[in-house]
Amino acid sequence: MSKIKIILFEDNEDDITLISNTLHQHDFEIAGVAKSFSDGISLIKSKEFDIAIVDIFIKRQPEGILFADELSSNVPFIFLTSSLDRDVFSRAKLANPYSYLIKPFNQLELLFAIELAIEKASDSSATFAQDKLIYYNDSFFVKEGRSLVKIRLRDILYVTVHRQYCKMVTDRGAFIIQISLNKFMTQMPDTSFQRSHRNFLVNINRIDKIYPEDNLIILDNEERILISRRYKNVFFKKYKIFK
Amino acid sequence: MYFNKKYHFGIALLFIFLSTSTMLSQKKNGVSDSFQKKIIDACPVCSKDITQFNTYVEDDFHLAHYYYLKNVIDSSFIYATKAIDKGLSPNQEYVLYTLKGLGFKHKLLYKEALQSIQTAINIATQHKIDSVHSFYEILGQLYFEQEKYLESIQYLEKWKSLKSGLKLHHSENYHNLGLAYMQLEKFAKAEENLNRSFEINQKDKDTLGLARSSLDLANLYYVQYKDDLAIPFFEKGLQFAKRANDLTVLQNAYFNLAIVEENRKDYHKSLSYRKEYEKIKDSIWNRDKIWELAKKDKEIAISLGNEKLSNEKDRRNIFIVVSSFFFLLLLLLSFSYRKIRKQHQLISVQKENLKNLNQTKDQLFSIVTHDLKTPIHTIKKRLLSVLEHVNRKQLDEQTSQLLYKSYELSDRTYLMIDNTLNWVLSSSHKLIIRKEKLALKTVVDLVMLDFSAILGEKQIELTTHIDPETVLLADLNSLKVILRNLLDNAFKFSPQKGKVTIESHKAGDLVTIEISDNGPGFKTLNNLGTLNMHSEEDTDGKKSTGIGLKLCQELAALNNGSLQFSNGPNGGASIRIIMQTKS
Repeated sequence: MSKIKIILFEDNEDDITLISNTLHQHDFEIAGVAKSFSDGISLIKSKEFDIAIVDIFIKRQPEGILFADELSSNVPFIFLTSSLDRDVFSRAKLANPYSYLIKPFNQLELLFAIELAIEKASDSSATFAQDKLIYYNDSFFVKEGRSLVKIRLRDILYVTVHRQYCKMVTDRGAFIIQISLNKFMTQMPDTSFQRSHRNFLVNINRIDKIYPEDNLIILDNEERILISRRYKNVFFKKYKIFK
Repeated sequence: MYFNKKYHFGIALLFIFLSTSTMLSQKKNGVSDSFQKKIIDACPVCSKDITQFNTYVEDDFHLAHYYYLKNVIDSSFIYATKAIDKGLSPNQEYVLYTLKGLGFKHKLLYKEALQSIQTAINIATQHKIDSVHSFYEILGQLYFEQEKYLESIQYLEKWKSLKSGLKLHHSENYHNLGLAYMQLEKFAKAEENLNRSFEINQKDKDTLGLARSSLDLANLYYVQYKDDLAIPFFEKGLQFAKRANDLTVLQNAYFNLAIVEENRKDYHKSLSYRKEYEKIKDSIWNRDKIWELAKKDKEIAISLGNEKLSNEKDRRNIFIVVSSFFFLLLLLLSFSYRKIRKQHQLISVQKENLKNLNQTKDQLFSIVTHDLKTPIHTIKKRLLSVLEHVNRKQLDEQTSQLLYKSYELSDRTYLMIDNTLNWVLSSSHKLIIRKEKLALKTVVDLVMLDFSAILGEKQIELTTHIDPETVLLADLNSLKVILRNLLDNAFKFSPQKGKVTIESHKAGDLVTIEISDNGPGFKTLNNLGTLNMHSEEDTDGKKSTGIGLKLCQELAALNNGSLQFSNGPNGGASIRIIMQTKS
């Protein structure tokens, strides 16, 4: 489980303070704040981040739009604006933001904007409200309380089946993903995850012990995973066993 | 040879007779003085006023003699006949029958002429009118024309004894008498009379008459085989004829001489005379024909001219009417066109002005509300901060209330400014509407965050039943504005410790969000569910300006949704927002 990293492109101190406070309260990490275009460019190049919050008008110039153009195409971003005037927006829309946020806004509005941005980026809609996971950019995103968290692959212990969907078990908890296990497997890089059982997809990086005769896997959190005969051979084929 | 001569003589004679008769008819119509006097006495017009004798007066009798003297025989005839039937005095009848007879004679209808004259004579003798003698010459002539020579001679001798009538006719009468005797082969008598005629013509210096008389005498001698006497007269006659203006006589002269020369065996001369005769005959014929054709032409030309004239006149009239009509039409059209143009110009100018005014208004509104929004929001936020952090229990009631009311006021003001801004943008079609799938619960939650202070102050019990799975398709800003306004109303109209519920239902492709309170409810609600938005009062007694609900309706419509108003079973108000879940 890790924090979602956000960069901010804003020059107004009050706004910066407000946003920073909100994000910190909700377990987001602020990767950086840029107050000018040049700062922004260097920030993009130097830091890793998941989402950008961009004010359209910096020093009364629509530099936010230019800045947004510099972001790589798969990074979701949010436009901050004080007006929903079409004249302003017609330009902003060119940069195709994932969501807008109108100033002044409250905390929940900011968080909702971030949710919408990720949802839009992954082509899903209204997912977080339903406690569902979004998989995007090699990470999983999920709503926890009022905040969002990011799940890196290595945080996942194993994936199991829950009705027609799959349940992801992590250190922090279990989350349901709205796809079948098989489909999930097609999206997963298979080096880390292996099918041990019809119902189990194990993160081999998290295996502590294996008892092949008992068909048992023990993970580093001491949870037990079953191995089935069907998958046993395939499973072990991948690994050399040092007897 | 004798036979030839006789033959030729017969022809010559015949010719002369014909010539005489035609000659006479060409003479101008005149009446003797005594007859004229008779006419004047008998005429109802002339007897009153003699100066009218030669003027046109509408009276049948008068017109009868008027036309006769003007040589318009047909008209004279008609009027005479008309007058006769009227039954006039014997004098008048006498005159009329005479005129008729003369008319007939003029037209060469001798039998009818005699009849009329006879009737006239009968009337005259009956009524003892004394001018019978004037008829002698006429009768003589008439009988002569009918080849009744004995009777003709009888009357002509009678005339001779009296010498009455027009002097102009004397030479003719002698000539006729002479010819009559010649017909009866009483040559001595004939010579006597013809000489007399010749003498008269000489005296009168009448060239034509002389020509005629010469030829008469020539023929007389020629018939008696007195050639040497005859021939000089023939030549004389020719000379006279050449000088006289009468082609017919000339023609005769040539013809006679041609015969004479033929008999004398001077064929060359005869032939030349013959040629001359032919020439004149042709020219007469031509002349007559030409005259006839010319007359016809003239008539046709006149009629054509008249027709053309009338056609042209008609055409011109039509043209004038039509062109003036078109002209009027054109005038009318140009007039109305100018008027319309003017109006259009005026309208354009007005439109331009209006557009500019509108733009200015919008700009102004936009700027003002935009610039007001942030400071008001700041005030609100700060007041909220104070409200949240201060220990209200430590303050006196008045100050505590003051604090809250200040916050509430700033909150209301902020809402109003936000509404106004949205309204201005919406009405000038500048509001961005971006529909997306939204989780209803999340949106309600974030809207509700701003109401916590109010909820706390009024101790309102809020119940929310929204399925987290409920998703609707709408513009985020629109939904927020609608919810914010409706919830604000619900809280505003709730009493202390009131109850407000927010519920959502799904039905097909629609989602209904129902917000109900237990306040006073809508007062101006009618059966159709429409509201008079300006008249609702809140619990503090303040009237709403109504812009909030109007804006909500507008925004709902922009999102393909709608609002419904009703009063709940417990008296409170209930508003339903109906939105789409799919496009």
